[in-house]
Amino acid sequence: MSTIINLDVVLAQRKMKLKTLSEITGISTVNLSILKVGKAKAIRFSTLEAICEALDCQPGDILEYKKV
Amino acid sequence: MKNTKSILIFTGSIVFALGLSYLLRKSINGKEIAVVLFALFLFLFLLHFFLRKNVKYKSFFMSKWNVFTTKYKKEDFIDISPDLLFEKFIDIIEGSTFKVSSSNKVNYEIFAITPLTMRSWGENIYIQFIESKGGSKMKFESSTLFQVTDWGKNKTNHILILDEFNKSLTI
Repeated sequence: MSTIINLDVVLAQRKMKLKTLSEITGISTVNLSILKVGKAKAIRFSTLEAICEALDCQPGDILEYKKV
Repeated sequence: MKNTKSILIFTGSIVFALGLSYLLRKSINGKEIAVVLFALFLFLFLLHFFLRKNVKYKSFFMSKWNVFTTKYKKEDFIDISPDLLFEKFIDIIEGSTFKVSSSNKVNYEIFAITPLTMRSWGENIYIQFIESKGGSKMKFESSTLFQVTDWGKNKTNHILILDEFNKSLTI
């Protein structure tokens, strides 16, 4: 069981760079990178909301649950 | 290694005490010896104090022959690339009581110090990330300044930094 982060996919669809997302959301590039590579332990609602607002998407577009 | 250091310090103290008692018996004025001793310790303290902020003297502080510092070394594996960890740890250190004195992005090295307080002379912290098995090997080294025992401070620094790192993984 694992949760997959599709932040890179959504970023590619929106043709947006991680640095731009960082500037819009105020979340550091390092934290976004850690989130993108799936090494984050947890995600705050406030972070999720900021990303969804910036990318105009739903939490489900970023997070995906898969049974392994 | 710990035993060797203790034996060295113990032997040194005995030789020092014997030498001092001999000199005191010979000396007309014991004040002279006290002044010399004070000057010697002051010199050693100032030497450590002024060299501490320069990463070039890492080997001086981490050397097993430097009996005036207490060293702590630990290696951990973290499954995140060194470039991300380097940036992350700089953020963590800057947000804590430690202060980043210098950093090297090419070798992923961070040198941090703790400030001088009423309770401590401060500690020097050396962190390096080395790419290993799809993640990073974190080499953590901590050294006290002019102290023969660290009272657990070096280990606490290691635990504190790793705790902060784990907390920071909630994004």
